[in-house]
Amino acid sequence: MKLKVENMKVALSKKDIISDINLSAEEGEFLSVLGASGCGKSTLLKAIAGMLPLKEGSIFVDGKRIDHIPAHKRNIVLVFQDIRLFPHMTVAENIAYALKIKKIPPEGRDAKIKSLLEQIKMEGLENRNINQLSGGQQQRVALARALAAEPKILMLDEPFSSLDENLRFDMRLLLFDIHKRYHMTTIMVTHNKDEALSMSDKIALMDEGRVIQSGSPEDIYENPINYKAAKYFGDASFFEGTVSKGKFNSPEFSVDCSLKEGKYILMVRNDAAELTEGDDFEFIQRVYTGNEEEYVYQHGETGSKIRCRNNSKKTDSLPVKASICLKREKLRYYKISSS
Amino acid sequence: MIKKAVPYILLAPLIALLLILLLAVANSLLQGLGYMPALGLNKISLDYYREVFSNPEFSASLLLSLYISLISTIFSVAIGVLICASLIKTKKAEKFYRNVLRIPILTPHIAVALFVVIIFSQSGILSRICYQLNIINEINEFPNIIYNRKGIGIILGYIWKEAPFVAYFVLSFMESISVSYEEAAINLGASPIRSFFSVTLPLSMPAILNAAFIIMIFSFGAYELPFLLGVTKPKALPVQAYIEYSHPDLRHRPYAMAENGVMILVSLVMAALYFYLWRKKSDGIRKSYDK
Amino acid sequence: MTNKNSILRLIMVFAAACILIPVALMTVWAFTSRWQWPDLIGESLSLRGFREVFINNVQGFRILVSSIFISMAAAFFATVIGYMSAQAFSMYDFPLKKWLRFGSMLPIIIPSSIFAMGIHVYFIKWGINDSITGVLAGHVLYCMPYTVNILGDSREALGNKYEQQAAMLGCSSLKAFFSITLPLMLPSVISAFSMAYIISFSQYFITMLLGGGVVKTYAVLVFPLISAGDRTIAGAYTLVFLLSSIFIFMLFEGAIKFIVKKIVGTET
Repeated sequence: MKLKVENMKVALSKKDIISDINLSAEEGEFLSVLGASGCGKSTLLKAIAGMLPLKEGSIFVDGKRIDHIPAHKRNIVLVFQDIRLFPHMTVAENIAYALKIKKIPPEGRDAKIKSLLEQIKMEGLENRNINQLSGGQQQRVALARALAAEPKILMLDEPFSSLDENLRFDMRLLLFDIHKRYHMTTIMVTHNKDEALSMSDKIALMDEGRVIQSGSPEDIYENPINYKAAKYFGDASFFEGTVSKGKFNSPEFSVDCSLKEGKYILMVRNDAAELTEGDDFEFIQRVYTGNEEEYVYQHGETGSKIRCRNNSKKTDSLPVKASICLKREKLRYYKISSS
Repeated sequence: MIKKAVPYILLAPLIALLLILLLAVANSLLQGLGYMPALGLNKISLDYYREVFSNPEFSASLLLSLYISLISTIFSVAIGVLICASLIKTKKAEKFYRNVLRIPILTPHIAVALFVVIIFSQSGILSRICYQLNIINEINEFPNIIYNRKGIGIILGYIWKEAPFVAYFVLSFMESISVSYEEAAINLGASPIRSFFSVTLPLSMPAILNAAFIIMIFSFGAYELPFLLGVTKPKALPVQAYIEYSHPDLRHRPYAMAENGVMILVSLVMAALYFYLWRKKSDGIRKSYDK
Repeated sequence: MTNKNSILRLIMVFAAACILIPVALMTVWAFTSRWQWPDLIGESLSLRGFREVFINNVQGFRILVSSIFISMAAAFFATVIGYMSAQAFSMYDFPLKKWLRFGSMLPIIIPSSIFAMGIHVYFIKWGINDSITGVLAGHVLYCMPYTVNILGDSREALGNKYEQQAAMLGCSSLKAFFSITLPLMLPSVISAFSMAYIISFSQYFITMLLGGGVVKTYAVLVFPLISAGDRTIAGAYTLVFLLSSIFIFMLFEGAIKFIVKKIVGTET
């Protein structure tokens, strides 16, 4: 089912939480809504599901307007961040909840429950009590419960945030599998950029209640539309400076560029910076994360830090003082508005 | 050593008070069994209990008290839960309603009795309205709603005070359930009514049963309302017991204590029932909350 | 959607009316001179009832004031005992804990009239019958389950994480109690206090029997007037009774809000 949100604004206690939201998800598309905590992502999901009233704007599913339809009739199911499995029901009863509402007879329900449990790799656990399940198991049952409702649109609010790393990887695969199998329009809210990048067909990046960029993962990563978007994906250092006469100038760098005059922020990804001979930067720290290695150097005068990825293998002799050589094609510039 | 004793030191006043209470209970039970050395009664005997149970007036009192507490509890819980559920969903003037609900909790039972008399007695407001509407012509035609053998006045008084108590007691609990689990149920397609009855209500049961327990035992053994709004015959049990107790002939004392003993027994049975039911209902649910 | 909302609104309005109408009626009645059947309006406005309460019955006002003091004392003791017990139950593990916890709820199970009748002879024996001591003991006993409950819940919720932190920073436990725990527990303490006050102020049987007519509280004073004939006087007394309960309660509420604001810096 196609989802379209137009000019949505949601307010709580007279304060606008999200505004000017315009986004869409095609049939079967996996859309991630990415953003820092507090940027309004969960509010967005709840508004689409009908749990929060819209101050402004409209929601369309398959071209039909749904924002006047009560929440329980929208068939848009949300898997909550705090899971919310019903404590007084077993695993099977939780999953069967939506089936009972649809008046599916007991045999049909049992078959569906069995099938779903197989898909989430929890066969035979129909009669387990919720409090006997681990966090990962609860997450999976919550997913199965949502799927049982056969929603037009499936939404997940930070589904993996409470799981540890290994479990997260397995759950991501599971979700990916299920998404492929059901070809269901899925919207996932996360603050984890790797998740968004690895799982989505499309990403909507949110900041302070607004969607600041939306596009494919490659698009957003390679070409962040502004400074905030760029900052979100990390791995980069930023330097303020001015462009005049075809050259960007900041205390740290001087680079040829073809931009109009004005104030800019230069973004240097960690793979766009290389160490060379020189002494304007001083070594601070080596950051080793197993599959990646970064060096952090600090500019002698301004104190700005730059992160350089280590592309070679040698790590023993790091110069205390160095200069940074920038790869022009990997640089990005963001204009600072004059206000 | 001292460290181990700290909790007991902290609990010393509580223990002292409880010992006094237990002494009162023990004394009632002993005297009910006929043990009153002061009167020269040194033998334990079941005679007084036997006399009590064979007295039709007593059984009428016992039944009346049970009836009053059962009916008032059922209605108070039903109405209280209804008010609670409505209050949670009401956004407008929420503060006003919450404050109004507190009034009955702050009102002494004595005042409640006066309220019931003012409105429902034969010379009360309701009767006057009926007269003005030509439904009745004489003060006696208005039915005896209060001073009546089924204790309707007493029940009404208890409901007035206890339904808001239930609503208030259950409120914060039901609210937290409503905000999370009820939302999830609606999201899965349940209508608001269905989600309330299939999710919110069952999950609120521990708090509801707790409130029901408190008001049931209280309305069974309380003195004030049955005295003020009750009829001569049958008297509610606490009233009956006190009349016996204050009899000038002290030999009535064991008889009074036997009646008290029955009240203690019934209250303990109610408590046991509650703990059994509560344990059953809430053990599974409690564990999931703790996660 | 709107249908459901209007039904809910109706329920709340009806409930509020059922609560407020009796209070309003009684108030009006207290201010009439006479209101005979079958009139729907009283004869005339009059302060006859209040004259009786405050002027004619000289004792009346004195009893009201002393009742307030007695209930304050009962509430104080009940709160202190409740706090100590809450501390024991939530911060320690010890044998008999379950039994004592159950025991603290015992006054809810045993009616106050049974307690009073059962302990009466012993109070006489110990010489505390017809005295404030005996009455207070009874009041405190019956307020105690509520204070233990209220304070127990919040003591447990608070936990000892702040005290642990304070200890790590070198603070003595006494200082930690006064500067950290108590301020944070204050709203709950006041809440328990006001609940205990209301329960004590409304107590009738314990005061009647164990006070023996010597210790008279307002509840004991007003009780016989309810079934007596004069509704104006009964209404006046009861209105004073009700208002003083509500007034004191609101005072405590305000104190809680003020303290929370000062300590935490936010409104509740």
